[in-house]
Amino acid sequence: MPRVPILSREDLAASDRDIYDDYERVRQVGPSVIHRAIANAPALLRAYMPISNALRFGTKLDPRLRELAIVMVGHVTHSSYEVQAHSRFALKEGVRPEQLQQLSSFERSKVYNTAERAVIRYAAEATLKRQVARPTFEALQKEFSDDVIVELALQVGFYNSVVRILGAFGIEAERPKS
Amino acid sequence: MSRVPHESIEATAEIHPVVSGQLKAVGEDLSGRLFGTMGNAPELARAYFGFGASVLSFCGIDPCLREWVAIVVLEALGASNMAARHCQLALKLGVTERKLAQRHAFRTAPEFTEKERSVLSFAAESARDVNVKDETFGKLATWFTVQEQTALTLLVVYYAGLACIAVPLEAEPDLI
Repeated sequence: MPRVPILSREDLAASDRDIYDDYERVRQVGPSVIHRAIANAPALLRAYMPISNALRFGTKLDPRLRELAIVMVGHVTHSSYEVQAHSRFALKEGVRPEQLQQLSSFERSKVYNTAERAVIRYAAEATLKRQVARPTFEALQKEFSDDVIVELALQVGFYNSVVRILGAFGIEAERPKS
Repeated sequence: MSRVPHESIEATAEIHPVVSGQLKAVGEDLSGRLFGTMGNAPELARAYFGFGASVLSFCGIDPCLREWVAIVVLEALGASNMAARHCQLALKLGVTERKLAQRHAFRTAPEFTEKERSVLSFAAESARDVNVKDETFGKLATWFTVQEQTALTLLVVYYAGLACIAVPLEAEPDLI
């Protein structure tokens, strides 16, 4: 049960409803639970959406790698909502089911290529240890240009924010409907 | 020295003057190592700083409390230089040296009010553990409206995100 109200469009002041309208226009779906929770401070949701959309739609980083990084952030922080939501996006982007299932053993698993493993390792270390080991960073540099590495760092940093919003508001994965 | 080249954001993207002004007003600037590192992805940097500037400007949280949140979160996540900068900002805002020195004992030190304790407990737990206990959020809710709880959450996660970007990239700003 979320700790803050999950607001519908009608709950918002008329002057703030354009935030949800823009969301639907850009994403082709209605606002998700996390965004409807942030809507309790509409000015901040208005500021949050441009970076959220830019990271989703405006990067050079391969979307498969982006989603693997995000799911890994959710995985190591035990964020059930993040894992569930972004596993769906990951599959849509071409991540294979076994790649989602074997994240706990990504170092040994043969289902990842070198670039995928480098991204997953960075996401895990940046999230759990903050300091990223030199070999981890060098592995990224072998695969990606500086701008893409910074994009990855921003993705991982931003989703470290997202999991903390979920953890503060008590938003968990939806249970399957029986 | 950061792990990627320094790209001046002002040279690579025209950060909206309002965003730049808001950041400078709270003691941040666009010329440092962190912003230069993020300048490698200028459009994302622009959106990220736009978010940060709005959180800082529109959160409605008392400036001293805002600095306490920054200090606690950044220290918890290993961003010691950034935390030190925010300690300087807190002093400028009138926080005493003695209170600043007591920050690691905020749960018991008499310098801190119960309201401040509720915020700092929340910030520390969110930064360190990600998931916040019912009791911790409940205490926050006794002092703040839902809108303020949301703003405090966004403030905490903004600094958490920045730390998770700056520390791995070795892009923390120099000490003042």
